Amino acid sequence: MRVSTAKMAELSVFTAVAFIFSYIESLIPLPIPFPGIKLGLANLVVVIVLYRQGVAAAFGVSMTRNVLNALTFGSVFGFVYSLAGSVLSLIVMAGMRRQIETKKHPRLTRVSVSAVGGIFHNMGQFVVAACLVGTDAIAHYLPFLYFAGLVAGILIGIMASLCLQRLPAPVMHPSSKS
Amino acid sequence: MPKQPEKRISGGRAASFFTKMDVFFLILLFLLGLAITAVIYLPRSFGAESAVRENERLLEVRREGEILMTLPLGEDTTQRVDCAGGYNVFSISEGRAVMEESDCHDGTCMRTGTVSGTGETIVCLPHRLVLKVVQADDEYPDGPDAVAR
Repeated sequence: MRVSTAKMAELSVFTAVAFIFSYIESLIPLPIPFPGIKLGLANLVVVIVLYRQGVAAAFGVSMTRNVLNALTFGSVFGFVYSLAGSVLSLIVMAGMRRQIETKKHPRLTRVSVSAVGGIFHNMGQFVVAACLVGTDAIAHYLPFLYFAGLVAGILIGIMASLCLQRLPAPVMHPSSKS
Repeated sequence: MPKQPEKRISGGRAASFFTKMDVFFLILLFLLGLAITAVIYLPRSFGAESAVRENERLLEVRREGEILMTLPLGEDTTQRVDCAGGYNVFSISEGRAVMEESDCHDGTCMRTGTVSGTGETIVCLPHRLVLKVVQADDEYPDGPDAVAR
């Protein structure tokens, strides 16, 4: 895959921002009694990159961010969880975005895409947890994860829309136009 | 400054990144979440309620991590357990368990008093003996805390 310098620079900056977001978030515990529920600010970056540079770029940023987390302040289990969540939510969001842009459901916006992404992010983590400790033991936790993902996804979607409106258009190298 | 092209604008406001269709879709997602909640919690809560009424609590006796016996809290009894370092005598009466005797050196187990609520324990650490009240239908003795963060 050929990547222009401008695109690579932009993706590097976004990766750094995502990395910093997850670090900051890991420092601030939420005052709620449910483990693992958070806003997921790093996913804001992933949504933005998904809309600016496409699926492959968003996937790259997301994976790099996950690996960096695991190597620095994360844990092995944390890595497996976030990897499952990131991959699943990205696949679903990319699929939805494509559906919307091919005018099959043209009235839905990024907020809906992000909401579904948030839900599936947590569903991915739930699947990993279910594989580790058994479905029965954590089934009661599923609704919490679902609604937390929904709320976080909506908030991330709104923030991403605001950011996308304000960010300058991505610099396109003449040879990389498609 | 160049902006991302906004394809549709509802109500003509600049910040309209949110359509009626989104609201409809999100309400749908919310209802789906309620449905999932109902599917998971309804059979569970009905089942649990009847189980609490019908099944008694049990006293689980563990020595060095292995379950020695599980006794119903509803039946009065006195049991003697021989441990590596000595012996313990505990009794159950009127649905409450208590450590009656122990030749351990600290006696904490006897000072613990009676236990009756699910999850309450009497521990005799020197003898590595644990008495724990459990629910008869407890599928997850370790509780939801066992879920990773």
